[in-house]
Amino acid sequence: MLVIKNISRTFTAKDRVIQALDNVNLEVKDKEFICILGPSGCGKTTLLRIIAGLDSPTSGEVMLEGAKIEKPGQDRGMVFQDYSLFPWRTVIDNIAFGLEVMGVDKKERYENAREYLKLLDLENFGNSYPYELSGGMRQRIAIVRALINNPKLLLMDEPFGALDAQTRNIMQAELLRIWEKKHKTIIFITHSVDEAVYLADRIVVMSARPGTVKEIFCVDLPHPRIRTSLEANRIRDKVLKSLGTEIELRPTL
Amino acid sequence: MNARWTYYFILPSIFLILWYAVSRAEIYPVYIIPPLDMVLASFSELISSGTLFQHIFWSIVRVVAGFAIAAIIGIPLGIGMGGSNTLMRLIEPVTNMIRQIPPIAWVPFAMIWFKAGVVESSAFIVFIGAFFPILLNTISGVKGVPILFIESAQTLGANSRQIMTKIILPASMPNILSGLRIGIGIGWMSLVAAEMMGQDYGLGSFIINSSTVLRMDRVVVGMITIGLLGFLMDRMFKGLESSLLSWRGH
Repeated sequence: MLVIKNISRTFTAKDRVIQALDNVNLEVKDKEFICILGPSGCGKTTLLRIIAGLDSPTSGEVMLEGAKIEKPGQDRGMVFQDYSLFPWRTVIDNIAFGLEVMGVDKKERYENAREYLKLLDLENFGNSYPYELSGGMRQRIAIVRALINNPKLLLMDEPFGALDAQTRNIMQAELLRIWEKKHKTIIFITHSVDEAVYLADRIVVMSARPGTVKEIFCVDLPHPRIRTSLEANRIRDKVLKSLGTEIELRPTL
Repeated sequence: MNARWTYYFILPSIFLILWYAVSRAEIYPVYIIPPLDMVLASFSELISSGTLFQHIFWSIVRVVAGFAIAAIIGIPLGIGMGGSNTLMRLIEPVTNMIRQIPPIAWVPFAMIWFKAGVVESSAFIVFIGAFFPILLNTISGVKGVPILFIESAQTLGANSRQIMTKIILPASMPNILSGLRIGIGIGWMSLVAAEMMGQDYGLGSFIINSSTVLRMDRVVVGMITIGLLGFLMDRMFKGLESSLLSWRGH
């Protein structure tokens, strides 16, 4: 279980103090799929970076299975919005990177990486370089690169934000397929209410800056979900209203 | 393929024809524009006697020595300076000032410090020419490594030594290689300055020694040889770049 306790984070830019996060509290159960939604600049990414250990809170703490998070670790995988595959490494060497830094020998890590390529149906692309792949392929590989370390938690920062709508839908279905196979706890940041309703067990709506948890919606629909079903629409409506007031209240954001 | 090769030879052919025409017209004395046939005769004489190869050999030894030392110091120092603001503040103003001094200005000290060394004094001048492009390109390569790659590696469990060897070094390799390419180019160009110190052999010495006896045809032979070899070296580095950096696509 992941426990986010009283997290606040302020940044100092020149002589201005900006409060990005204000007293955020959240508990995430094992194997849960959480989507975080919120207006731009509400600190979603900061929160995710704190969980990843790439940033530290000004106050409060994050505990993963009782242990305080202080730095990045292999128990938490991260998928970034921008293409983060190492361009000088082949696909298979990208996927195997986590095992390589752990000292796993080449044969074993390649075997392992090939299994993940198979899971993606990309067996023939092991020796390709990232520049040869489409955006969707790169993000799928970034996902399995994070999964190969068998993390407890998969953190995803708008991973499909740069993709076109069509590819995005395919990627969402693909992510659910991987999630059902590997059953990880996922925290997924998105701007898209559609995406959140399609993917999440729970949707966390954050308030505008300083970011805090405003409202949490449970999505009790079985997978695969029908994007246009009545229930999906009903939830989408509620989430949009909750988000909408956040955006209208602070039109400058 | 054939058509491409034809293009390569158009400009040199025009140049040779013009040169030949001017020499045949005998407008200028031979020490102002040495005639083409005279230069070719010197060329073949110097090749058949083997003298030219001795000059080439010593020049290459000096340039390789100076260049290698420049790379051995420049790359690690550049990585350090690119990664640490403290080191940058400490060293950058000094290197930036020294870098403005042309290699030839170091000749008096090279003579005093390295005496009549056949290789050392000239290698030092080449080193001065090659060092700064290598250093500056390495620094900008390291500074340009996207933080995204470093953070990705951190979340995948890499420690700081692994981030250095598996992320920063390969990510800045394009800049390091172009630094080396520019470095060897400038090092090679410093040859004449490097070999001003009275050596018997070396293409630079050959040019200087020939000019003092007004053998301008030989000066031209030396110039063309320097140009050709420099061109070949640059092509070698270009080939190295494209084979090491095939991951960049085109």
